Amino acid sequence: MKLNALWLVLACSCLASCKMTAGNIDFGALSKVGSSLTQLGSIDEPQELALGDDFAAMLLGASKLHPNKALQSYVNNVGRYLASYSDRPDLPWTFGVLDTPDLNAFAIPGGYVFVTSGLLANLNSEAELAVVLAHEIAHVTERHQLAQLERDNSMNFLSSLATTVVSYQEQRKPGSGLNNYRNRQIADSVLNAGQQLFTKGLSRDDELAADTLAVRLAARAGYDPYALAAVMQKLDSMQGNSSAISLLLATHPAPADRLTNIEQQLQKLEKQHPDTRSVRLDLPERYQAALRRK
Amino acid sequence: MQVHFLAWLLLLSPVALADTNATVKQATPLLAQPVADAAELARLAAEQPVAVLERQGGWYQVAVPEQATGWLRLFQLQFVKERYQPDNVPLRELTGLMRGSHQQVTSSTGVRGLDKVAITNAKPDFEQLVLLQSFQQPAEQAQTFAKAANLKTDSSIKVQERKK
Repeated sequence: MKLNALWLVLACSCLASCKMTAGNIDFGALSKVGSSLTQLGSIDEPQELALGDDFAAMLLGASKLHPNKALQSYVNNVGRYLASYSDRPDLPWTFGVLDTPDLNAFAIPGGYVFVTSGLLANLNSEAELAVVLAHEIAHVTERHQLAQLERDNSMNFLSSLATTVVSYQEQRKPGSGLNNYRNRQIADSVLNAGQQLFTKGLSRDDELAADTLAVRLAARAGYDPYALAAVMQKLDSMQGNSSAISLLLATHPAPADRLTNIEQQLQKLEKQHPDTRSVRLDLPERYQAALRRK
Repeated sequence: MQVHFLAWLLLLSPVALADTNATVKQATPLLAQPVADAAELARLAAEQPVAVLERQGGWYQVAVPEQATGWLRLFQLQFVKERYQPDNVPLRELTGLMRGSHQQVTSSTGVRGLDKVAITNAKPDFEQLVLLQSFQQPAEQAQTFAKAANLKTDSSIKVQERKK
């Protein structure tokens, strides 16, 4: 049976964008799903954006946005500028400062990036903020969260989750004849997936890869990439010292481990681009001013 | 007593600078400038305590007790554990401090931590999502913002070394 269905899909994809239906099955649509599987992992970009909206809303349910709007704009400017030089410059990049003393940063599929006010209070320069944001941007451009959800769950989990999310969005629209019970079930499956992501974290390889890309993205944008090493040394010195970083440490490789990789990446960058060192900026004054502005 | 870290730096920086807060990982030269071929001022032994003054790219300027002030490679240095206390005061209180009252810094009512429990109990907040989206900056605005600080992109640096 399964084999037959596969042949049908293959046959249909040979016919390019033909619109063929048999019973209730739209084979043209099936072949489209097939092509988005190869392009984007297992869901397409609109589905990724819808999923991102729900995960972001969920995280905002755990921690509210910081009330300082000038600070929110500042972080969005730094982040949007960096993202313009990433592999996915055209996503609707959105950055948020969460109002919590804990130190952390989060990336969400579709282009949402969060940093906590506790982390901001412990950074010294715009370059340090930039490398933190660049690390999270890399998780989004590399679709690390989507891959992790796929790894941690059953086959086709992502595509069925994405379908669920889109239907959940439909139900949230005003006047959609909301079925509360069904709505709650849908919300639960999305919430569970979000909880998995935010409390279990990503693989060690993905975290190190995000550091590697962060170094290069920051340098490309004109920021001092050594800021990532400085932030990591700071985290290393805090290790085990405070409950404010326990979730960050539980969901990431040890800072010392990350520092080894960051050192290698910086050495490689210096070797490849030895003459551009002097023009990379840290901008501590602009950063301190942004923290103080009301 | 919770005093904000930035404020702490601001108010007590002369004291902080005199205090050693890092050690040298392995024997390393202390240089006059943050460049590899600068004059060597001293040779620091492993475990030597130093006070970090500033960072410039891959270099830290350090003050060595009873010795000179000079530069060493960033990766030669390790901050002393337990000395660096993460701040437990949300940023909102920082503006209060800058207005001059120390008392305002200590309260953090209504702001909770973001731990596993908070995430597990979270219900989606779509009003906050709408507010968040209102903070988005257009790409052109972000370019103006970068230019204002003289940030210069280097397109010769590829973010991805190998394309998937």
